Amino acid sequence: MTAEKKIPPHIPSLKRDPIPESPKFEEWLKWYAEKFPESSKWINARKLMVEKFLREAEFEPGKFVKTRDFWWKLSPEERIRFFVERFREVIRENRALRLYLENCTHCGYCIDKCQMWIATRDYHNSPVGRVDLVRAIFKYYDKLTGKLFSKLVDAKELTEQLMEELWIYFHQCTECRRCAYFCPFGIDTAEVTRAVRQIFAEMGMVYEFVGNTVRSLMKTGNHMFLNAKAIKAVFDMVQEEIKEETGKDIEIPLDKPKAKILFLPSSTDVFTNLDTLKGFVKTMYALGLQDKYTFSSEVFEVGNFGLFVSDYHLTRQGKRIAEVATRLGAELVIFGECGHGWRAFKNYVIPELEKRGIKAIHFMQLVVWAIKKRKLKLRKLDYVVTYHDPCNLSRAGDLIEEPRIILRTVCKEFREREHNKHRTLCCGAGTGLLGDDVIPLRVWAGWPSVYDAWKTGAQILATPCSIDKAQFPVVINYHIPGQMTVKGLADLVGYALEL
Amino acid sequence: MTPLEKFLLGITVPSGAYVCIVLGYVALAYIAVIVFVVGVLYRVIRWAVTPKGPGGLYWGLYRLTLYPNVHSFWKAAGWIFVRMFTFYTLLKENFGYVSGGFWFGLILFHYSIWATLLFHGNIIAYALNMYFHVPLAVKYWLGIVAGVLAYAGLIYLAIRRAYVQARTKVKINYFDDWLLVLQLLIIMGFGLAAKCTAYPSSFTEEAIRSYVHSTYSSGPLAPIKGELVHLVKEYGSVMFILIGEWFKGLLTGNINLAVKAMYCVAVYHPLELVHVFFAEWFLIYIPWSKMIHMFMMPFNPALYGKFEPKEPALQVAIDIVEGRR
Ligand code: SF4
Ligand code: SF4
Repeated sequence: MTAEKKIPPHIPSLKRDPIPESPKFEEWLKWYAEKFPESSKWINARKLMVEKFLREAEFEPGKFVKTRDFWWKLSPEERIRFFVERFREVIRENRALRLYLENCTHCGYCIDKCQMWIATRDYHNSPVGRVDLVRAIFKYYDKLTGKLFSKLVDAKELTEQLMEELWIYFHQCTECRRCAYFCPFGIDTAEVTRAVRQIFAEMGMVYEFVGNTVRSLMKTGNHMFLNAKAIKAVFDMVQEEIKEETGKDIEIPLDKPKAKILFLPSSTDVFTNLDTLKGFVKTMYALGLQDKYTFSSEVFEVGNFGLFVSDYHLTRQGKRIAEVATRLGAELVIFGECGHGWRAFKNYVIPELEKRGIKAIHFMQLVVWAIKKRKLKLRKLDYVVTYHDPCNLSRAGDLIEEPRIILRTVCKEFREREHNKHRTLCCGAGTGLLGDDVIPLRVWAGWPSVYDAWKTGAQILATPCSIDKAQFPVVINYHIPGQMTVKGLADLVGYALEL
Repeated sequence: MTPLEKFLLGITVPSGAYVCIVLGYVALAYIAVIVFVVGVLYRVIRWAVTPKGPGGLYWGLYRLTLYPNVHSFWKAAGWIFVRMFTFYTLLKENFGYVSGGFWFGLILFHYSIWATLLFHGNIIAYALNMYFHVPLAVKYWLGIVAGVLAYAGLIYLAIRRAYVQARTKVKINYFDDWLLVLQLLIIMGFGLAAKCTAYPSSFTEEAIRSYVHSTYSSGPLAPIKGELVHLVKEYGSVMFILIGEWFKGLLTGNINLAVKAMYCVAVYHPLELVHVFFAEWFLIYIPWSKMIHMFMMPFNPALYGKFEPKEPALQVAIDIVEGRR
């Protein structure tokens, strides 16, 4: 770090701070000085006042929304009353939340573990500062000492201003759970975030990008408003491309009845991540599974933005997958590439499938088995590659070693990053912080992770996560354009496969 | 009844002092223990019976498991155990920081506290006639060293607390945090000071005799100072024995014995009196404050959950690939 590239003393800094390492450091300083107080404006797309949207996203009174009306029809007082009542209810119903609110010792160890704090150096953007916002309400409404000595113990009555802060800061937590790993007690801020967002969602308040994605999910079973016709059109095109590349005419099965295997891709695999889709298709072909699997237009999605909105939406999509798999008579469901989706899948859908006698695995688990048994003919790609552990794979999904085995097999050289596995850094766009309105936040929240990868000198940043694949190119392009390429694991397997 | 008990029961305590001791060291002691036990049970049971969330799920998830490769109850328990007793996540590097100092401070503080609590256990053992004999010099020095280390750990942690807030500009210190630190400083400080001043300078016959004769030559214990020399040779200090008799009185419901033993503590070892008093309040404080954190980890769903092993599902895939299905 050169002398002038240092965080000024009035801003809290880290020992080996990643922020000054960005070529755009000067912009960060300007941004910090000028825009920081305005950061509350970032997450401002909250007024989803379209009746159609609410209907399609199944935010319906009685069915999901528990307010007697949608939030904009409530007076500020009614909103506060709703939040407080619901919050007190939730505390009684939710073990994790109660535990996390009651047990923080304020040791401060988690603060500089959060990429949102690293990006913004904002008090409430640290795990403890974030949870303290709700802890203050909890103390005020649920603790005698909070009522009696509110100032002394930082207990606060809920006001419009505080509600605003709750909205802002709980929409800047990416639920990455890095803090939970580091915290001596394992206090999981992401669970507090999920609870707060659930209450907001019940009031009809959802971050626009996420809300629209959920709307699509509820309507179509995927995040991108895709129907069977659109999927088929892309499949035909991809089939052509594979034929050109390999000389093999591999039909990509969609809605094939009585398939033994249901394959779930990410809906972005027919948009920006076509190489990921090709990787899946080629691998299934190479394993002789061509006639035994199918994609389904009803559940053309591994992602599940319900995880970021409410348990209702999460389980709704999860049940749909289980229903489709059952109807198909599938014996196995293979999960493609997605980070948050794997968390929902692993921790909700798989147990649901198990109840129906259907098993499920991750695509990478299948590939690793095939590598070990020499079932795939793989050449070494001339790439130096590093791996970004998606938070939800390493800290919520029991998947750490498989991608490393794959990358060591298919690439010339694999380089570990410094902050990896449990300590992996979030891409900065988790929980669907993917809107253009949050670009300033995204490019800096994603930088610590990109910097970690960049430092390895690798040319490829591999990640089996659709949000990463959408986020990292934006971050790379902003800080170090052209210096790294982002690829999915399946993409690389696809390139390396000899059919 | 031992001769010491018989003697203690024969002591006359001024009525004002008697009432004060009954209130502060008998009633309060019982209340403290009851509040502590009931309070901790209440908190812990409340955590245990609070449902996971709607539909028996954590907002739609069957588990919140954080660690990979946790496929059995024992493995999850192992992680909790390791976390509780090693604080190892503090040694994980993050942008140039390995919080070695914090880790060391925590280890120093917690392990020394546990050691001193273990030594306190021997007082209860004395009250139950199960005293575990330890060479006196070892007992004395181990106690002091553990106390000093715990105190050093506490001071380090308090300074670190202020430093982290200053460095990160994140407000992590509120009144209740400092109240906790203050209480510990008082309890441990007085306990340590009482320990340092209540023992002879060495455990030679001569040192014990001269210490006992100079300390207990007046006041209620003066008539048995000859006996006290033998007791000190066996147990290390008169304060230890008096606190042991106080415990015995409380455990057996012999209030008179408890009061009179504590009266002697008040006369000869007032520092200990302060230590005990604040410790009683602290017991009451624990269940209702963040001190409850010590019971939290086994209830943390991020730590205790487990995943299903991947092998059965993989086997289905293999069977399909190899044509057995
Ligand atoms: S879950 Fe991640 S983003 Fe949220 S507070 Fe913790 S470290 Fe920060
Ligand atoms: S590391 Fe854990 S206990 Fe310490 S301040 Fe953060 S959440 Fe609280």
